[in-house]
Amino acid sequence: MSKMNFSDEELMSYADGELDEPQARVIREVALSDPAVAARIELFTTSRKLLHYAFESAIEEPVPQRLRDAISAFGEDDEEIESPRVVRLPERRAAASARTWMPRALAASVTLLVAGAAGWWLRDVLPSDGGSTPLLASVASLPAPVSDALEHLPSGEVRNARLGRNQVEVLALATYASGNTYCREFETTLSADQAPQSIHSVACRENNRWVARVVADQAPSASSDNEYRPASGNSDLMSVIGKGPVLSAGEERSLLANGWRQR
Amino acid sequence: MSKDFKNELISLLPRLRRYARVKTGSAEEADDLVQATCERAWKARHQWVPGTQLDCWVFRIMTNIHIDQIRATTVRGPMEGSDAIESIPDHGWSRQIEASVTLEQVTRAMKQLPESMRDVLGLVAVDGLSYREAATALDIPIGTVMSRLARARTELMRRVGLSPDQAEGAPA
Repeated sequence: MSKMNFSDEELMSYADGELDEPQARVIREVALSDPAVAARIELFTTSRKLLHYAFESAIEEPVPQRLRDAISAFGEDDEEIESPRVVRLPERRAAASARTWMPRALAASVTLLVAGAAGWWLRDVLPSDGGSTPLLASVASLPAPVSDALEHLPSGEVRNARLGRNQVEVLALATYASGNTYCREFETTLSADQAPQSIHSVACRENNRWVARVVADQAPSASSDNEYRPASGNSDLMSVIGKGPVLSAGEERSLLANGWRQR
Repeated sequence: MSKDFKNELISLLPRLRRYARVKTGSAEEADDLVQATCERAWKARHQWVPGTQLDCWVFRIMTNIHIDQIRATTVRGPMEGSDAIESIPDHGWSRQIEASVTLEQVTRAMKQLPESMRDVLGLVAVDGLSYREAATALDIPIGTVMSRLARARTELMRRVGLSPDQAEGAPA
C-alpha cells in the first residue's frame, strides 16, 4: 500500500476546512483508503467538537448587567473611565464565587461520547465509583429496543425494554424539528440493583435511523449536584444541539404514523 | 463613531466572556478580564482601524492584558510561548470508558495546558476564528498558530484519553 505522508498541520487544516478544494481533495482521497490518516483527521475534528461543546455554555449565558453597564458608562472623556470599577462590590465577588464556571448540568453531567461504540449504553459508561462521569453521544447508534421505542412511542408514554441483562424504561418526552430532520428527547431509567438511574437523552433521525446526540446523566449523586433540577426538559442539553420548535401532539402523531419521513 | 464602537463592544461580550474563560478557567476572573479588556479597548478606540476586524483587535487586547496579569502575579511565571507542558499526572481513565469523556475533563485538561496553547484553542476551536484571524489576534505568524494548534489538540486529546497513540504506550 502506498503511504502518503501528511503533516499534522495539513490534516488539521483539512479538518478545519482551511484547505483549498484541490488540496482537500487529495487528503480526502487518501483518507478513504488509509485508516491511519482518517483517524488522525478524526482526532482534529473531535478535539474541535469537544472544545466547542465544553465552552458553549459560556456563550449561552446572559451577559451580566454589570458588564453592560460598565461599558455603557464609558465616557468620551477618558478620565471618566475609572468610575465603572466601582462595580467590583464584595457581594458581586461572593455571588460570583458561589457559582461554578459552567452550568452544573453541563459541567457535572454531560459527556461526549466520541466513538461509535455499540455497548456504551447505560451501564457500560456509568462509572462504578460514583464519580461524575455520564455521557453524551455525538455519533452513537442506539440499541435496537431504544430506537424502536423512539420510532413508535408517543411523547409522554413509557415503554419497557430489555438491554442486555437489564430492564429499562424508556420515556419519550418531546419531539423537535431540528434542521431538516427530527429529534426526540427521552429518558431511560435503569432500575436494576441499586437506586434507579435515569439518563436524559436526545436522539435525532439521520439516514433513517436514530442517532444519539446528547446524553446527560440525571441521577443525583448522593452528595453533590442537588442544585440543578430542570422542571421540564433540559435547556442546557437542548442548546447543545440547537433544537427547533417542539412539535405538537398532532404533528408527532402523523410522523409516528408515516415512519418519520423526512421533511 | 463612539456610540457604534460601544455597541459593537457590547455585542462582542458573549464571545469575549467565553474566550476569557478559556484563558482563565474561572467565571469570576473571566468577567474581570473582560471588563479590563473593554476598558482598554475603549481608551484605545481611536487606534482601531475601521474596516479591520474589531473582534481580532479586542481579542489581542485581552491576550496582552492577561499576559501582563500573569507576569504580575506569578513569581516564576509560566514559560510563555514555550509550549512547555506542566507535568501533571494523567488520570489514567480506564480503557473501559475510553470512548467517553466528560466536558469537565475537557475543561480540566484545558487548564493544564500552557496559556499559549489555550489561546489558539480558544480562538480557533472554541470561537471559530480562521488561522489567519487567530494569527492577527495573537500577533504571531500563521505558521506558529498552526503548529501550536496541532500540538495543543493532540495534547488535549491525549490528556482526556482519546488519543489514538495511546494504545501504543505513552508518547515520547
